Amino acid sequence: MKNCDYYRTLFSDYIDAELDAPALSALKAHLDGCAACAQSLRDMQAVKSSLASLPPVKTSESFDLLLQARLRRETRQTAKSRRFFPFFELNWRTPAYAAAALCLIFFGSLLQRFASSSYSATSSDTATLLNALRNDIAVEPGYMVFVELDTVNNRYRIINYAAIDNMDSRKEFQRTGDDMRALPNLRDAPQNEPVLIRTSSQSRPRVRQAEFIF
Amino acid sequence: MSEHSKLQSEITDEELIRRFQEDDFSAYTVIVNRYKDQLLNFAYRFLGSFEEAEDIVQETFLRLYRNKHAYRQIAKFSTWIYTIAGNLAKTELRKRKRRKVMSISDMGYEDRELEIRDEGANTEQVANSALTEKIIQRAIDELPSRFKEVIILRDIQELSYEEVGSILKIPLGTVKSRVNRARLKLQSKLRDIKMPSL
Repeated sequence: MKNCDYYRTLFSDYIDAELDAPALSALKAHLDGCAACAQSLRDMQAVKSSLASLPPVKTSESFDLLLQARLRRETRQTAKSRRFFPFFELNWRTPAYAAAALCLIFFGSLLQRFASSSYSATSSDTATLLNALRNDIAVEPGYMVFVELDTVNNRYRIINYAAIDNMDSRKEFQRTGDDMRALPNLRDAPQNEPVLIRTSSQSRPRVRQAEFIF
Repeated sequence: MSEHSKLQSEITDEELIRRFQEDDFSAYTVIVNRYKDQLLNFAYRFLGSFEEAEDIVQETFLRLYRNKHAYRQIAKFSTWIYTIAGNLAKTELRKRKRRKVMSISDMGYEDRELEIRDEGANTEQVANSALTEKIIQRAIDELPSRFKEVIILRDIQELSYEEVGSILKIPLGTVKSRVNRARLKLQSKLRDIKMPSL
């Protein structure tokens, strides 16, 4: 025997006309004999009607102006930063594009060489990678990106930072998420020797390079 | 019909965002005009504060501007932008909880008149006799976030169960059960709050 608690789980579906015929018939039979549930159902219908009839609110008159001002400020900050870093004035797209381009442009060519012989990258390869990123990384103005290569584990990570919108001229950044990508092609290559991508200091097989995109 | 009017009325959201992704700023403006009040209503009912709700909507559109390429055509644009606004609103609510704001249970003196009990009024009467917006909003404010968001999207924004599920990224069955529980909870809260005039 189903009790009131069970039938109350059907109230919403009843109100929204989503009950199937057997459940509808069972609920109606229960309501005929249970004044408390019948009242509760009426209450729920009244609550739903009240919610639907709440007056809508509208944005204030200053909303559009304020949004435009914030967009202009973003654009201004972008332009200002580019004056200081003119060589970074590039057409950025999205981090996903960057990862794709990175694989295609840099590691595609790496793999071609890697398949035929063991390979040790030189600092010019690092430059190639970073150059590819600079051209293809897809970051909107106000973002900062670090590229971290972990050649021991055949992975690379794109670390994203977004500028915090503040009123003064100081720039603050907040880490917004990492994009870790494996390099399976390198790992599975026939002669799977560790790939060393040397930094300028050549201190360890790890490159950490900052790209500032304003 | 001007190009702008045509954009306003005829073009789908998905086409608008595609154009904006190709740097057509007029498409962005149309999106803002199309969604600003809808999102404001959602954020306002969720937060119970007009100023905070406007900030959330502003931030939503700024994020759209900055991250336009993050949108992929596999999702409906409306669910995508509601998800952004919803996440921002939930974050704001969490921040506010840390600041420990007033709730129905700890109202100030000026609010206590709303608690004057009228034993003769039942929930149906309260609801049907045009409960003041303030009282309903207070009851919504008291709901846990997971119930608040479903009931606002379903009963105030009048979105379908499927749309609510897409926005909140929860299964249809969960949406339905949460809506039912949210309505029952709201009923119970409204039963406990009486207006002095009733």
